[in-house]
Amino acid sequence: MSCERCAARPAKLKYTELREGKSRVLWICEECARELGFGSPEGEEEPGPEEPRPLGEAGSDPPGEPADPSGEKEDPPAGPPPSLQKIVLGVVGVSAGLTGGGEEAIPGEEYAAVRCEDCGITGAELRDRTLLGCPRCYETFGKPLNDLLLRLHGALEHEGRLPGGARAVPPDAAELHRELREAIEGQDFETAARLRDRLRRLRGRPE
Amino acid sequence: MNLRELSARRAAWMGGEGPHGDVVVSSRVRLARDLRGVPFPNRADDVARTRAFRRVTEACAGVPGLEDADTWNLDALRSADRDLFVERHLASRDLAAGAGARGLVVGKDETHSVMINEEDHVRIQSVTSGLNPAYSLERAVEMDRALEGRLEYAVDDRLGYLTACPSNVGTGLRASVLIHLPALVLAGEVRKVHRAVAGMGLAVRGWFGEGSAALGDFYQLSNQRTLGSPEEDVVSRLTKIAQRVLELEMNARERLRDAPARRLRVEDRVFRSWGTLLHARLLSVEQLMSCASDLRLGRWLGVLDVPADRLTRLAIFGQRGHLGARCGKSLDGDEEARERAEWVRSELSAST
Repeated sequence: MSCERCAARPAKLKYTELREGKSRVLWICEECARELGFGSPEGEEEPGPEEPRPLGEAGSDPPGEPADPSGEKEDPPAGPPPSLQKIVLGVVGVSAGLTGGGEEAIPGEEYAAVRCEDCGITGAELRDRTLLGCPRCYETFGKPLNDLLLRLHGALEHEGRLPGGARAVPPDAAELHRELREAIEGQDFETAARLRDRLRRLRGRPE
Repeated sequence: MNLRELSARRAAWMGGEGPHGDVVVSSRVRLARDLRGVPFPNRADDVARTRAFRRVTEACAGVPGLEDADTWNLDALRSADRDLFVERHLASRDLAAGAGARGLVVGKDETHSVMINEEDHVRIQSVTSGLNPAYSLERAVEMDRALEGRLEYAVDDRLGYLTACPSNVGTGLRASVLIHLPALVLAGEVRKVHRAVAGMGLAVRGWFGEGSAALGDFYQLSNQRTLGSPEEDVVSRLTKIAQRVLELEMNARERLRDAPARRLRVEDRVFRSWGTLLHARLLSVEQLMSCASDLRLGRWLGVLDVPADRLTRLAIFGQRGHLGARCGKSLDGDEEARERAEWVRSELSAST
């Protein structure tokens, strides 16, 4: 698919355009993303089409942002700058339309066109529903769901029974730090964000 | 077992026994489970739903508590007959009103059951009388252990059991107690209790659970969160909060009992309700539940001697689906109200 902005280069990223009060999702190339102010680390000061939520609230923001997961200094991750990550991961706009009550409709703009490979449901469809389509949806819509889960449960990690007599127990901090470093080195920011949240919760836990 | 027999069966949980059995009607636990790689029932086509229904019913054979269980395919029943299962707290209203292959596997004394193709493919249920959700959890976990060897559940390392609604993900556990709070209602304090309980992360619902009114001063307390706390913690927290609510109710009852003017009013109300149940020719469900509630309180005050289990059964067997199953036809309007009044009279005259 080619970029829906310049129609020349291959589209790599999803971009939510706000015009006349309406939002529209576009697939754009990296070059256009840079021109729109999402391309360079310097561009970070320039906000996206919508302001992301404050850090530390939803726990689903990618790391490498001001919040330092471990309390230690980590090297800033290589690769695309954080603001690009924001577009890719669809953090922008995710908080719209979410409620903590009975209507647990889910994703924001960035996910409207995303389709679950297993059940075929799209992010746009999920917005009008309270139920997911299949177990795979948790993976497909993982990011916006994290936000919802945190509102509903105040947690993002299962503790308790698992099949086969196993139990999900909170790992210790050293183990989480090691996994976090690996995730950042491997540029797996989604995992890193999750690990950072677990570390935060672990620290908040009375010993 | 046919529907008529089911409508007359005394389930173990209706016995009015167990800790605080005169105030706490029942303690239930349900575990939501789904099959790996299968769309959730809301998204599954007829073929997938039917296959899931068959897989789960087959897997239930020989599960602890489900020996000699009955399997009910609700799709094959009339709407009025499906109500019977809702009234017995075996099926949710959603399951009864749904479409396609769906149903229940119900153990002999109804302590153990499994709902199939409701919101999730599998909902393991266990219920006991009195305040004892820990017991129900143990029973449900036994069933779960047996089923997990036969069904491949949708599970995620991080999120635990994956369910159709994100509000159930994690443990899939909903633990609830059905508690009778007439004195708190009379004292106008039940709202305060609601707020306090909601502030502790519990939901307060009515007689039939989600979306139902508080018929006859019965309230259901249940946990809301399913992610981040182990099952045992959730259940022990629910038990503690229910105990606290129970204490408040008992305090309110003692205040009623010890204040002569208020006590007289309550006694008057109890005997009016007694009169209504003994003599009415038309009786609505709401009237039945409200009068049965008064009788329960009268029993506690020591002014009436009707056994608690009989009162629980009045509240269940006097519902429309049960009356219909006993007469072998669906009832409506005055016919239903007449049938109910007649049945209640015969039940109560037998007990006095």
